[in-house]
Amino acid sequence: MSALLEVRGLEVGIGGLPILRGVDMEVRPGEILGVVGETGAGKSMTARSVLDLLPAAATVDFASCTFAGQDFIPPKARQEARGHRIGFVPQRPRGSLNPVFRVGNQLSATLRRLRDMGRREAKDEALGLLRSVRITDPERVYRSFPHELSGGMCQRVCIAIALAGEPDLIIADEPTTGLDVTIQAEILRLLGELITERNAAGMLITHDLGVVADVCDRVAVMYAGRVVNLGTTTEIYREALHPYANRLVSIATSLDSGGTPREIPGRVPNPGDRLAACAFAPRCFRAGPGCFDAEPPRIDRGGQIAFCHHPVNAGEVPR
Amino acid sequence: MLSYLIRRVAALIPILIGVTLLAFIVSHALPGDPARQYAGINASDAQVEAIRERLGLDRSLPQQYCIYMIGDTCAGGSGKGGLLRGDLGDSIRTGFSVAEDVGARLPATLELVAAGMLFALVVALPLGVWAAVRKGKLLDKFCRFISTLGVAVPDFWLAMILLLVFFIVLQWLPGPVGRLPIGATLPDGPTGLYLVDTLVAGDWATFWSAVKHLLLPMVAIGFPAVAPILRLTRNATLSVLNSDYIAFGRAAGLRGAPLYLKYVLRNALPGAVTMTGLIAGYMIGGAVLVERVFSWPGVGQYGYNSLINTDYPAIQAYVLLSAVTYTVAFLIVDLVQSVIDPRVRLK
Repeated sequence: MSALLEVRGLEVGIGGLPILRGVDMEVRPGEILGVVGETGAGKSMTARSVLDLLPAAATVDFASCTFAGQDFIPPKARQEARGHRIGFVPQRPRGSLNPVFRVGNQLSATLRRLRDMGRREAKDEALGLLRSVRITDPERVYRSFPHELSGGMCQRVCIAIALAGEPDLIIADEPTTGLDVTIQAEILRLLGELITERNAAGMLITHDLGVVADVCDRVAVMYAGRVVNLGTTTEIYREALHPYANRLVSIATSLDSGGTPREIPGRVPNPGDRLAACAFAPRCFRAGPGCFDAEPPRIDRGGQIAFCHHPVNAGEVPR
Repeated sequence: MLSYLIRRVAALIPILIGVTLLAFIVSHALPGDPARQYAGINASDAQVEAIRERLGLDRSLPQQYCIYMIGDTCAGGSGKGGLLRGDLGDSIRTGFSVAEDVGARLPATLELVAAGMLFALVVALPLGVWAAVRKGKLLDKFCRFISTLGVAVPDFWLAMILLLVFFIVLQWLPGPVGRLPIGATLPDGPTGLYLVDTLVAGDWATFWSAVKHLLLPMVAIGFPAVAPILRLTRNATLSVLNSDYIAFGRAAGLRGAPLYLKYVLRNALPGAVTMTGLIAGYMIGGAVLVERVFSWPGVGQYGYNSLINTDYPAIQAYVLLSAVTYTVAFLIVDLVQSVIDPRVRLK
């Protein structure tokens, strides 16, 4: 199946520091891809590169980038896709809505801009969108300012804005950070349903593996500016090839079952730290001498892709 | 909203009473004897004393203040005059009532300050946003230069340089003769603002003449205000540009002029509005020197002349006027603020 969004060899640097070091990933039509990893792994940077929303100081370089067959390397192509072809759900919903305008105005202004609607039509459509993100009293929310709404409500409005241009892909950048735990699951389920309902594809960035298991079809695990493991959610959960991904999953599952997780020693390298050939090698329980010297090979096994010298074999790691 | 306004205005009363007391003490502490000045150089001591008595300057200071505030009831009179009855007293220098004197000159100053403020805002706001958008580029550096210049250059000096360039050398604009050419028929209108009155009357020739006379004083008084507003707008715009809602707005396809003019400027405005209020009050003071350079017949000049002639009632009225301007400017700032930003609640 040909990919909707395909990113190859994405490199991003800020002030000479490498942030992304050759990211490869693709989102297929109709699927939801989960992108997981610790803070600083480059998840948000990857998403922002696709929308050309990086800070001015960043340098971006793709080996190739296509969206529905269109060349996405020119920044203009990526800018024009914003809202129209790619919807974006932000990390901090309340801060992401303009504080001085009513949320209804922001939503209908988006509709008028993206879909050339008239005032009247845009308002009706906006109310419909608010209803579709399961807001029970859209009229009241339409008239509210962001500071009058809860974080969860703001995120629903942001999702409505992301859907306004009827995009083919929705990128959600840690959409539940800062929300109450009780509504996190609700928002994610909503997002998943909406993407499926609209025959769109999704890219869900999170550091919560539990979330991924519920919503995503495939998972990309990132570490220190690279995708180290990519596969279907089922495969990654059953037995991730990459030791890092494997450990993440076992931590998540042992937390879920109330056990004590075995932590990963050490910490994530900062951008600019001297990295071994495999950035995870210093923290890896399977690392051998080769890991520090040679780039890890690409392993393609059982529906997974991993970059590792010593991929985890089935049944090898005790849970 | 209405009750808020009433409470705000009520809160002004104690402040303004304090200002009258301060203005009274400071003006009476000035060196100089108004009675002697009024009597003239050749007057005898007895004549001076007679004048002193007539002006009430022979009474004790508390009694004088009481008369100034409450009227002649303090001196056993029948209840006339006094600030609380709205009487600012009579000018020692001109002999007219101070209220009349100030009323006749206020429109000239208002026109000057309003034009100066408008000039400052029209230059500083767009430039501030633009400088932030092009941070570090040539335009940003040019704006920093303008800001530094604005702080460093005194308005009266700028006034003289402007006259030198545009009146003497280039001869594009009229010289320092006030609001209209000498001998011109003054427009007779309800507001006293020449630009408004001539527009209403459809008198284009006089309107154009008034505009030309206003240009240089406007730039002289407005330019020093460009710097703080420009800098504030630039910095506010920078922080707005880094905000989450701008990033999200961009992600939702917002670009170009709508992004900057609607989304960014509206959020960057509050700081500039506060600064504008401060400056509007300051400009009334700045008007003194600019008005002198351009022979502008405004309250600034009146205040200056009152001051050097130790004209107590006039000085007090001038100080009071400045205080009222400041406080009214702040009130307007708060009202505007609540309109710009819905999170500001007037309580």
